[in-house]
Amino acid sequence: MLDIAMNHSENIIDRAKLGDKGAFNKLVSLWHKRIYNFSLKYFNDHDLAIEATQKTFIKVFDHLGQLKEIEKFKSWIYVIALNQCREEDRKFGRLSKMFVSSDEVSEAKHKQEHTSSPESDYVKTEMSDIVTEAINELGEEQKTVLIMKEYEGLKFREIAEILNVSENTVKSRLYYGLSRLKKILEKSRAFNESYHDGK
Amino acid sequence: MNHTMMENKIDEAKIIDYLYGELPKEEIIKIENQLKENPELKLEMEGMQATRDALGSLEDKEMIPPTFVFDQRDKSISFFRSDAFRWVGSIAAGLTLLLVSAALLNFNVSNTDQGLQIGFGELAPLPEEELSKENVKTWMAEAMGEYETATDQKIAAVQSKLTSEMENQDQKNIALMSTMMKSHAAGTGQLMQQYVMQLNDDNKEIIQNFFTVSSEKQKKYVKTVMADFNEFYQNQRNYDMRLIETSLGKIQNNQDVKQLEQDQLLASLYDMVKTQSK
Repeated sequence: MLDIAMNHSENIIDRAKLGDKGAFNKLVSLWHKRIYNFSLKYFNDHDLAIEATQKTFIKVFDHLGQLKEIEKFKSWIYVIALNQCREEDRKFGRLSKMFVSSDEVSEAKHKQEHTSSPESDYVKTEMSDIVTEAINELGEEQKTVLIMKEYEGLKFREIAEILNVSENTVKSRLYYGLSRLKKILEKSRAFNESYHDGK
Repeated sequence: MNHTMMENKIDEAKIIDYLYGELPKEEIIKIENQLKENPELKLEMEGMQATRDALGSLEDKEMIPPTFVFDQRDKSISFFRSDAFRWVGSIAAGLTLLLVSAALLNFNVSNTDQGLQIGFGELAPLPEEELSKENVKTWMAEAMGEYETATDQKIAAVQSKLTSEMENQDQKNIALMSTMMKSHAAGTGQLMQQYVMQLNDDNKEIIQNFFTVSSEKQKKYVKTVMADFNEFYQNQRNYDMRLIETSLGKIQNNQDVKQLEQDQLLASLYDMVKTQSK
C-alpha cells in the first residue's frame, strides 16, 4: 500500500515543491521508513541512521524547489540519503579516530570476535544479525549497491543513475558483493546449516 | 586482455540478471543448459541464491516518521540585529576603547609654533633657539675649529718628541757600529794567520798521507804484477815443456816408423836375393 503511494506521489511532491508544509510532511511519512532502513543497513547503527535520515529530509526540504523532473524523485532522494550517509560516516570516522586509538579499535574487535558468552552466542545465531554484520564487512561500493538492490528494490538503471556509473558496473559490484558475502556467511555455522538444509 | 575482461564482465552481469530474473526466456534457457553442463557454475549459482535467501532474513525496522514543524515567525530582522548596526557598533566600541585607553595613559597632542607634539604624560618644551640650517652650520664650524686646533697641537707635540727620539737613536747606533767595526778589524788579522797555518798543516798532512798511501799502493801493485807474471811464466813454461815433449814423442814415433820401414825393406831385399840365388 505504502509502495503504491510512494510510486504515485507526484501530486504530493508537486505541492511540497510549492511550499505546502502538509504535503511535505506527507512526503516524509511516505519515505521516512525507506530512508531510515537504508541508512540503518548502511551504518548498522540506529543513532547514525536517525541522524542521516533527518539530515536527508532537511536537505530534501531545502532543495526540493531545484528538482526539475518529479519522476526522478526516487533517485534524487537516494542520492541525498547516500551523500548524507557518507558524510556522517566521515564525521563518525574522524570522531572515533580522535577518541579511540587504532590499537583500542583492533583490541575491541578482537575481543568481540573471541568473547563467547552464552548470550552473545545466542545473538550470533540469529541469522539477521549475522547478515547485518556480514553486510558491514563489505566495501562501501558493494554494500551500497547490495542494499539498494536487495532491500530498496531499485532497478539497475536507477542504481546506475544514483551512483553515476554504468549498469554493468552496478551488476559487477553486486556480483562481487554477493560472492564476498557468500564467503563471509560460509564461515557462520547458522548459514551453513540453513544452506545445507535447504539443499 | 581487454577482450577477456569484457567477456568476464558480461558473464558476471548475466549471472546477476539470471539471479534477479531480468533475462529474456531464451537467455534463461541458455543459462540453465550451461548450468546442467557445468557443475561448478551450478554450485556458484546455488551459493549466490542461498546468500540472497539469507539476505532476506534481514527485515525492515519500523520507525514512526517525525513531523517537521516549520518556524512560522516573521523573518524580518530588527534594526538592532541587522548586520549594518553590528558593524557600526563594533567600530564605535573600538574607537571608545582607544579613547579611554588614551585618557588613562595621559595621551597628549599639542600644536605649538615650533610644530605638532605627540606623547604620553606632560610634553617638555622645545629649545628656544631655532634649529635653522645656518645655525647648524655655525655650530658645526665652531666645533670643527676647536677640534682642529686641539688636533694640530697634539700633532706638533708628537712630531717634536719623535724627532728628538730619532736623533738619540741615530747617535747610539753610530757608536755601536764603530765599536763593532773596530773589534772586527782587530780580530780579522789573527784569524787569517790562524787560518793560513791551519791550511798549511792540513796540506802537509794530506800530501804525506797521499805519498804514504801511494807508495803502499804501488808496492801492492808491483807485488801483484810480479806474482801474476810469475804465474804466467810458470804456466807458459809448462806449456812449452809439454809442447817439446809432444814434439820429441812425435820424432821418436817417426824414427820408429822409419826403422820399421827399413826393416821391412831389408827383409824384402833379403827375400828377393834369396829367391834369385835359388
